[in-house]
Amino acid sequence: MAFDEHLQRIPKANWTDYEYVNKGSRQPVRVLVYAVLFALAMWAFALWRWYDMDRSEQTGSELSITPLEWGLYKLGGKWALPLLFALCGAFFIWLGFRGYARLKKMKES
Amino acid sequence: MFYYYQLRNHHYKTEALPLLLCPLCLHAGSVSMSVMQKYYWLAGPLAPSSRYAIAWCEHCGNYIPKVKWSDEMDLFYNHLKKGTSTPPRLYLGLWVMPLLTAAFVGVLLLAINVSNSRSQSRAAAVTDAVMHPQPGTIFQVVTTTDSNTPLYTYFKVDHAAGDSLYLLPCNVQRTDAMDWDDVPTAAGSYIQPPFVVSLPDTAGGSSDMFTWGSQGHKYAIVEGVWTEGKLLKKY
Ligand SMILES: [Zn+2]
Repeated sequence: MAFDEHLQRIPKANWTDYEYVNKGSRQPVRVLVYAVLFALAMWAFALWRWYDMDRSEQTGSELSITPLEWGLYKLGGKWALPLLFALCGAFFIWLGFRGYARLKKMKES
Repeated sequence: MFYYYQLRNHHYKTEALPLLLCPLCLHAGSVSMSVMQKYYWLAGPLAPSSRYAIAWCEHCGNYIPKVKWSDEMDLFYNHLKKGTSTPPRLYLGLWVMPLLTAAFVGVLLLAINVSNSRSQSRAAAVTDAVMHPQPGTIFQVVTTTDSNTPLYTYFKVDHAAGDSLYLLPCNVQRTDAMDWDDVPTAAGSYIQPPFVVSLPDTAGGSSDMFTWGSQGHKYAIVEGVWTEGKLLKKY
């Protein structure tokens, strides 16, 4: 069967549920581990930016930031960007848990 | 920088594997497997990702979720995978993208270089006009008022004598540089009599600066030269 026919038969949202890469693909917990690692990276980034902006506020030293950061800083001060990233990280963990639960159910069915 | 790219799939092979048992319906001899590989696509193949397989059962009609794969299926998958090699075209981007990036950076550097050398030759022409003043030449200068705020104005060369240069001040004096490039050229815009400045001291490195007054406490920096109906700017 050609690949295009598979594409039509498997719902696109669930496609990754059927993609077997190696033995690790069988572990439902894998998706959660990836999500947590990703979230940790985002939190580290948030912490780093908050620390830089805080130090810049305290000492008045110069800090070059991206236009996105500047917009967020104007909206909500130094907390806006770290908070946004922290929430994104939490969202990824939630997605990870959901994926984990779905795959675990699939494995046990 | 954001790239908008696609993930595409390269299909290697699809084979029926009669020895396998379906982990869903436990029926033997009805499992098939496709070996595939994702690759990134941006106007062409960029780089391949990992290979993967999907498997399904013709008997129960289900695709087999990855978490339900059996050890035997893994074995057959690895066997099927061994016979495949990634087509070189999937690596195209790994060659083309660095080349494109290098070409882009090269063109950018060249453009900067050209504009630099242009502004350098313009600056040299302005310096030349300052060092060899011709009567009638108008210098576009920035100087300061008595209260030390910047003043954008013009000096017209009356005549030069030895190390001294006689300049006519202009009655147009601006506090910002907005319309500065509209050089007043009418003779009536320049006020007689001329005042005397010393020709810039090239050894001092500030060749485009006039100084006058006691101990040279007044100064003006030349930013452009108007001559023969044309304004030549340093920058
Ligand atoms: Zn089956």
